[in-house]
Amino acid sequence: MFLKLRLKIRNFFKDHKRTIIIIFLVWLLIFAINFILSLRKEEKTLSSTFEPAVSIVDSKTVPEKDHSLITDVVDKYMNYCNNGEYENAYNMLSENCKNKAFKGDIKKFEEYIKSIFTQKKRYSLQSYSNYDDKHIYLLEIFNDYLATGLTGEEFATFDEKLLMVKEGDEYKLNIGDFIDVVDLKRVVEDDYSKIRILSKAVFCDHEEYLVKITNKTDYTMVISSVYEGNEVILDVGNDKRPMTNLSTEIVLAPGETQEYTLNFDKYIESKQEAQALIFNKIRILQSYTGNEEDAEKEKENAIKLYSLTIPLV
Amino acid sequence: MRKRRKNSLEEYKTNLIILFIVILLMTVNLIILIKYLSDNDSNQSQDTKINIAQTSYNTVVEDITYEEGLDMPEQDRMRRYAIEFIDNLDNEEFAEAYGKLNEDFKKNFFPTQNEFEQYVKERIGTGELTINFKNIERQGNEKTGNLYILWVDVYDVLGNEYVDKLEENMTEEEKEDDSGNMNIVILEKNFDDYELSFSIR
Repeated sequence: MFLKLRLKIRNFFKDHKRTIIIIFLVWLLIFAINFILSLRKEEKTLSSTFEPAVSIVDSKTVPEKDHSLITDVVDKYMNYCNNGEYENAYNMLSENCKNKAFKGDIKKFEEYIKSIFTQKKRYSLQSYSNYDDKHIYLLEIFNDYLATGLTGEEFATFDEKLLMVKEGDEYKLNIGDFIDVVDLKRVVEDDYSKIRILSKAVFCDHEEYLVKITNKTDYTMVISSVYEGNEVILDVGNDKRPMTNLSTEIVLAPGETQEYTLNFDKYIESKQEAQALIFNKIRILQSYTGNEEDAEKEKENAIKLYSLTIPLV
Repeated sequence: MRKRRKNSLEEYKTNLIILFIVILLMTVNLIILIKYLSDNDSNQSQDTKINIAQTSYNTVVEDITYEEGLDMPEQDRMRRYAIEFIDNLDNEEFAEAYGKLNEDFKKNFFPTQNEFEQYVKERIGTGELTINFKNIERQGNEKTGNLYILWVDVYDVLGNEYVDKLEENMTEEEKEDDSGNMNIVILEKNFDDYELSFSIR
């Protein structure tokens, strides 16, 4: 009854012997791999909720290679700071960080480190957030509580953000909440002035715009006095933020060119991009005394009063 | 001619069906195998969870294996270490307790075991000490290890807090500010491998 079927099965196996053997061998290989993997025991470590490579802000995980590298670099830096090897520690900083956070002055860095490392310190390192594919870490520095048992002191940490950048073949650190320098190269020119926005330095809580201003007139140009508000503004979408370095007076003599650093509050976690820099009250004056009492009179005799918006995007 | 072609088509169909059945059987076989292996894994992790539950709270200091210790939640491990240390003091096992202290802490406060013994007897007391956990903070990194700072209350059998022993030496302001806390700072290297220090009053 089943003779035909049996014959067909036999013929099938005869005809497809090669294919069946290959399929069987593949199956056997998969089985063997599965079996070996199931036998392999993972090396157990202490259970912990500590996830230093997972960012606090966006829960993104730093690749293991990058995390391991930054852990090594920060540990080396912390050892230099603890041992008072300031030059070695300073040399671990990026050129941008040296210039922007410490004005290129090792003494300023030394003062900064000495103010934190008043005694031997320990530290915590935790991924914090991401900025332009760079991993920002939170560094918490605290006293060696293990050596004191917190005797006669309160638990406290000094917190700062840092990130690692590559300079040539070397890995360097941006510390002191300094994140990056961005070249902007925006230029706006009219009959009275030429304003160049050269770059911005990004910090965790503010941005510093480096601008170069030329007064093309034969009169005094006042862009920011110390007694008026909202003279220079950063447009951040719905928000208009005034310059925070209020003591910066931007006054240019006829034909003069000057560089200024203008600071504005802006947190790194904020997703809002700066849209424009607004010079809100540019005054070309026949005379300027710098006295608040004379300001109105000087404005009445002004050659020109106007505002200028320089787009940043 | 037509019959031969018909036979050949039928044969092709049959072969295809048989091939399909063989592949299907192999796939089912593979799925069963994978399911079996993953079931084994999930059974293992369920066992781990039971162990974690058993090692919480009152049973935190029970004898457990090294493997079980690795699975223990870190707050339970810290409680375990702190209880072990206070138990050492309670049972006057001073050598063992002194051996758990961090070397720098010893240099700072107790260069000799005798000084430590004297301090414990005078200031903390021994006999039916009780520890009450208030808070645990973790600090540290992967290079130098995790540091745990514990805020605890230590009482003796009469309910006297650790700081009460020193009340006569405290200013009024200190008495008001002090909630009777002792800090225990623990550096954990591995399970049951740690060094610690505590706040001196």
